[in-house]
Amino acid sequence: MNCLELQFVLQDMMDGAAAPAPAPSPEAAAHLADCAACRELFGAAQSLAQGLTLLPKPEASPLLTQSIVAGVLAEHRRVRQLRRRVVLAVGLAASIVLALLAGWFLQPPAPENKGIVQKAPPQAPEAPKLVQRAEDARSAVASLTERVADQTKEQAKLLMAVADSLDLPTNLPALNGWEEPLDPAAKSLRQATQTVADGVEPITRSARRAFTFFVNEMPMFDIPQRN
Amino acid sequence: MSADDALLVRRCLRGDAASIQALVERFQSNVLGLCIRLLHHRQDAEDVTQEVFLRVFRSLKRWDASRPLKPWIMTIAVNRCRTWLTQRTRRPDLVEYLQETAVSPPSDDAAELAREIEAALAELRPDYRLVFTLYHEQGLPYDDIAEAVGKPVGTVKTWLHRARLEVLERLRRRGMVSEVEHELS
Repeated sequence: MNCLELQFVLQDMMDGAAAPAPAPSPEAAAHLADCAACRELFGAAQSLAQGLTLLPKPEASPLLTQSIVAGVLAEHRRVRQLRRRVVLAVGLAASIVLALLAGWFLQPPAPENKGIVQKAPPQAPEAPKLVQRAEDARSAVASLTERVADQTKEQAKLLMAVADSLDLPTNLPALNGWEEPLDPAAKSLRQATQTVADGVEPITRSARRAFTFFVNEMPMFDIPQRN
Repeated sequence: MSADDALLVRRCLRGDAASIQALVERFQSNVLGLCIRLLHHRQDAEDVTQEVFLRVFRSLKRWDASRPLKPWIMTIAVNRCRTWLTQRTRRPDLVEYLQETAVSPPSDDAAELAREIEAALAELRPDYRLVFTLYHEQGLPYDDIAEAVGKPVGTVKTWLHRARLEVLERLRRRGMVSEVEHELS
């Protein structure tokens, strides 16, 4: 046995806890007899084994015990109180929720359609807007008026040509019997007047139609009533 | 023992004051001894012991009833001591510790041996001292020590081996050596 092996023997010996160190084995005894260092180490191990049994065991004072128990019990009380508060709070919250739910479900039915968002009726094909209609009417009237004006202008040109061809005297004769020489011109004027009247008639007819159109369409709009 | 522990724990969980006191009294010496050994200060050790038991009762519901209670409590104590040591700035000297733990007159050989062992333990590095205390003073097996310190069993054995050698070396230097010649003859 060498010194290292003896150290393992010492470790095994001390693994026996605080029991009195056993006597060395014959091999260990032989090595101890030859090695002074290991002999001292073995002696120290025996002292250690003996001394470990002598180490003072710290005694806790009764005050410490009471303090620990009081602290533990106080914490128990705190935890219990906290748990009770949590249960109370949860119960209170649950009862409030239940009351709200009961109030919601047990209340009388609400008046018809009150508080309920009505569904929009199905959309009818969108009618032309008033502006669009007015624009259409204006353009119709304008085109008619333009056409009638053109006709009138033509009639006026014709009338001017007739007037030029008459070669009227600058010194007008006496009034007696003057209708006869003027008759063709008057006749032309009457014709022109008739033509103008015929030309204006579509305008008046269109205006009448437009007015009727407006009157028919008016009920679609809410016109504020003035008191 | 484990059945006793389980029954005691069940009563404690119900808030039974007598059971709480019984549990404290059963383990407080072990916890206090470990705290004194690790913290080197009686007052600090008592404060930590109180904290340890508060934490023990706080997490008692998480204790595995199939395992012994003592290693579980000692694990909590080890962790609390480590936390305390990291937070503490003041380091009491060895004299204070020895004065507080000496129970016999210094003239007594046995007391002198005990003081030398305590002084040797105080010189150990904290990890070595921890495993030495848990093994030799608290009587925990390697597996429980490994769990308490959070290291593999092999590491614990190595630390304990080195701790013993350092203590033996100090005892040898201080002349605390038993005569072995007569035993070898």
